[in-house]
Amino acid sequence: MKKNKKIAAIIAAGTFAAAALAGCSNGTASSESSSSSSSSSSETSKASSSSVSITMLNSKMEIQPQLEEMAKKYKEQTGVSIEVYSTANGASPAETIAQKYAAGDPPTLAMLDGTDILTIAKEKAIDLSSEKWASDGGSTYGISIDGTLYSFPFCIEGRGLIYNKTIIEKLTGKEFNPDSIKSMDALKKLMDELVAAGMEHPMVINKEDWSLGAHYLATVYEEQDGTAAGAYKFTEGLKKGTEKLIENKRFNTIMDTFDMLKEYNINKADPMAADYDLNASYVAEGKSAFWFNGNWAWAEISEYVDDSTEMGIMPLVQNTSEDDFANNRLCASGSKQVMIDKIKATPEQQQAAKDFLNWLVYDEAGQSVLVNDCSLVPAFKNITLEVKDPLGQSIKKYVDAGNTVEGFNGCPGDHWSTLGASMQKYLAGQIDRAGLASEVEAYWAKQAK
Amino acid sequence: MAFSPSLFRKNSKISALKGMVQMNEKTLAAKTKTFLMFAGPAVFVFIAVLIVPLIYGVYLTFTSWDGISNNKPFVGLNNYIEVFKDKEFWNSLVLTLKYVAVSVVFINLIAFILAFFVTSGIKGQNFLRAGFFTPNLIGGVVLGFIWRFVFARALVSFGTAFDIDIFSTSWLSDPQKAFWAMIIVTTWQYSGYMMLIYIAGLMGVPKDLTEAASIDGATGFQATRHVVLPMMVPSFVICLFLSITRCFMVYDLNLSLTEGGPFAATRMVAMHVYKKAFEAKQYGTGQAEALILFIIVAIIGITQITLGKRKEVEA
Repeated sequence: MKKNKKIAAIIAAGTFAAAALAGCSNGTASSESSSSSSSSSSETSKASSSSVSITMLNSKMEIQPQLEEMAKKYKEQTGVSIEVYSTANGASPAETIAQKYAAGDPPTLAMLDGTDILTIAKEKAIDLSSEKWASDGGSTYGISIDGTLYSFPFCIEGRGLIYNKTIIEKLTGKEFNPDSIKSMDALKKLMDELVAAGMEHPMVINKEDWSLGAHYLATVYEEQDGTAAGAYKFTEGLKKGTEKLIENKRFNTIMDTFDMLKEYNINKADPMAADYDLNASYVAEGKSAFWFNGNWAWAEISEYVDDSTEMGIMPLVQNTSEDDFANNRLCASGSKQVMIDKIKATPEQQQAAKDFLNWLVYDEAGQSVLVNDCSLVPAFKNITLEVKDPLGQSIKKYVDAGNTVEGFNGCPGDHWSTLGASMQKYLAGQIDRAGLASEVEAYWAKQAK
Repeated sequence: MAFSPSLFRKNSKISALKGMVQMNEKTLAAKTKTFLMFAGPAVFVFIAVLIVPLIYGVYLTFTSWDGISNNKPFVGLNNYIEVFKDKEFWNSLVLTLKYVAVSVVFINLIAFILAFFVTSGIKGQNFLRAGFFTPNLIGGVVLGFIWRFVFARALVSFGTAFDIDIFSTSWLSDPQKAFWAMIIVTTWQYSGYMMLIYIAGLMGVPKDLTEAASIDGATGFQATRHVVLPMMVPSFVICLFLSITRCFMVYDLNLSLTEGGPFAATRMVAMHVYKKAFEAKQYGTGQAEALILFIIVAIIGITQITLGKRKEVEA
């Protein structure tokens, strides 16, 4: 009896300690077990490369099921197993990758945001400059540091004014061609026509800080001269205090457009009470005609829209000359970037990861995963598959014609929330343009050290 | 106290144990073994999950680590200087202090009244107790989303339909009202939980004391004020401690109800620290701010408990 008790106590203590230890090594244990189960499940693997297995961090949660399906297909085709896991709910890719590196268990392929690549790639990623896909669009939309390409652009996302073509044509009685709107005045004229035809508020503006800060305000940097280098130079000037925002031409034309749009905003009475889902329904159902947002908004719009409604995205037009690039080009960039780890990945794994990226671009099955299964806009010229959703089609049209404004990834991580709050104040009328300019300048000046 | 047979049995067991221990007490190794057998696992876990991270965290405050890089450059006290220059940190700390002060008062006041109400012997009091406790079972994030809908949509439709000025615009789009929305939801969330502790306290007041008071001619109010309340000081101490610390560390509700908005006007200190460390990628500074917050909360908590303990009385 006594002995039994002692044994029980030892067992209890042992399990306790084991549980504590297992907690520390949870990551590796679970990944091992899941990869071994996946390799045993499919017997068709080829003998030559079946030993290689790689991991991939997915930061687009909405396509996780499609990517898991893709991993199965890839395993059947090549014998290489890929374990795809996504960022934890609510965690940013930056947090997840930081945890993974801290735990010594980084993914072979990491899908991250552009800014993350800029901060960590030099230390942790391999050089991808000599890959074949680099010349097919990879070097344009991927991220290079000092001339070395470090990332694979997984998809392109663009932003601008989403329009509901059907409702515009119905109300004005004329055909609507977005290419004919090349200035703020032309847009204002159209909005006045819509108001006269009975639409009370033709414009929708989000109140979200990411929309106002990371998308609207960032246009000011990106459209200085339309290149990332130009945006970098401009923000460096802001840091040093040599650029005066209030005297900057682009800042003023973009904010002029903002002021005009504000007047037509469907949430004008209480702009900070705007609701994202309601916003999507307004533009999808024709209660409103324009929405400043990007092609990712299709996820919400598709909930409300019926199939006969034609939609698209056009540039954020300003009162500059008609041939100004800002009135003709869309802000579109590689929004999810994949890098290959060099810290823990073996050369075989790195090679397998490179092969996989090539498969995505050049194999029909791979292309189909990107375009048909995940409904993404691919960054590569050689992929000719038709993009599914109308907003994506718009983006693809601008991308194919080379009419895009280069994306800028140099904003610090808290730029969107800090200056998003400043833009919210401006939207709600709490500060004027000079006040906004000084808050933006103060933020950048703080980054100087 | 009476010498009961059961107590006697226990004593004989203890002396038997003592004999066992005395046999082993001679060597240090045996002592360590005994200690490790009983306290080992707990000590190990305590060190692994609390002490080591705390020390490592303090170490990180002396570096300018960005959260992911391999090098953690040593910068001495720079982060602490940075904290004192970080105006937004102090603003959000002051805001949090206001929030804590107001919500702690409301939570405990309402919880006590509710507890009094559901122990007074009214019909269906068990059902009411369960009802008041339920909000506490809903997690902070879900709670925030529910109330966001109430403040931003339900109340607005109600206000515009009946022409009530105060509800006709969303509370969450006005900095002042958004702050009060936070307090209302916090009170709603925690008063049921604190009510439970107060109920236990109220039921624990010996009947003979209140009876004696009423025989001596005390009115109901006098009996409550001079007999029940002093007997309940331990409940007040624990409820105040719980509500103060929980309100200080509020993050989930802040995130899901207001997202710190409008214009970052309701960003509580925990959210600011998070943003500093993980969004602005100034891990060292964020960690230093977290440490300062920890010290402030610890000081307030300990002071409150020591002061409260002094007021405790024995029946």
